[in-house]
Amino acid sequence: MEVESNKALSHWLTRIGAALVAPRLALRASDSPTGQGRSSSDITLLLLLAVVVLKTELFSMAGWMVGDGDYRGAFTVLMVGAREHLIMPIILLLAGSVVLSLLAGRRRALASDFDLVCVALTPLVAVELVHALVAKAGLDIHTISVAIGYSWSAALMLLALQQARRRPLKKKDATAND
Amino acid sequence: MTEVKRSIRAGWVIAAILGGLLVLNGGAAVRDCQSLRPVHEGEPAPDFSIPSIAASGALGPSFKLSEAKGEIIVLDFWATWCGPCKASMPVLNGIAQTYADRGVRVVSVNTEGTGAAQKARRMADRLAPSVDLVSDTGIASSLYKVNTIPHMLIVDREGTVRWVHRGMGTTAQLRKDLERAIEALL
Repeated sequence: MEVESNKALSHWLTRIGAALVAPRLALRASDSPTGQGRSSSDITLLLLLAVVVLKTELFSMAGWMVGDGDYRGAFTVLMVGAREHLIMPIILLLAGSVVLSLLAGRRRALASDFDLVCVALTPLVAVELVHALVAKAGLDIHTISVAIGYSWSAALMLLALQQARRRPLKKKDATAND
Repeated sequence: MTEVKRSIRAGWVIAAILGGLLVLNGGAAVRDCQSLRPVHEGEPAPDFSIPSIAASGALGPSFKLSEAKGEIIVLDFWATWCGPCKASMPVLNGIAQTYADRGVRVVSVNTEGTGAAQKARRMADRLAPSVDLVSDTGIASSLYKVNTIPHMLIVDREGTVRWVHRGMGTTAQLRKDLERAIEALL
């Protein structure tokens, strides 16, 4: 089953899509030994693409600065823009991983827990992208979109916890139980 | 398998949204390309008029850049929450004291709006009492395309931008760079 879900989710876009419409499948695939590390690179790529498409004016400014020979200024502008956009997701990823690991009890696996949180945060980024597109049409739904994004991701965090608690106990713990 | 099909579809929707935003925002960036160009060396300094912050922390008479023609103006955009800005303030204070009698004026532009005037005054009194403090509600920051702070510029006696500095290296390097730029204009 794990092999099947991993095979089916072999493409980055499919895995992102699965986190949105088939979260259990995405979480299962992410938590499997063959899927490890993929969801963290998936969310990283999505976040970076979001920075590129949402902060185009900064790239334009940085381009001018490079043209003027101000490489340091261009770098600073891009870094500050990226930092503004990435700081909250990074905090949520780290805090979410710690919480998930604590709640997973003896079934915790730090790296896999981090991967599960990466899947859980995908809706937050996706909703932000939808909001940015809708805002282009002149609709200001910032509060609603923030509420949807956070609630959606919180729901996925619960599913992630379920997934983490479904893991088999490590041999040592299982023996102790016996 | 239905789940996989739905996932593929959702993935393509996300790709389409990313593509749409790239076209819309990228198009706007290309269209407004000229207006996005940061103020650079050799360009006439955009004029602005913003309130000064008096010793009491209340808003005082306006500072108008064009009225300072004939002086060398060091503009420093900063905020009270910005660590590197605070670190650079004693350097600017030293510059203000060293070059005061040679027609150099340091104008410290607080970018947090008039509501932060009291706080800005307290901080400036502690770290850079010799600089002129002004309060910006976004007018000067947007004219100079200030996206990152600290952001410093030197405007010569004719009103032309001669030096631009973004971010913060070491205070020693900043002092050296400022002194070199000012000496070249004296």
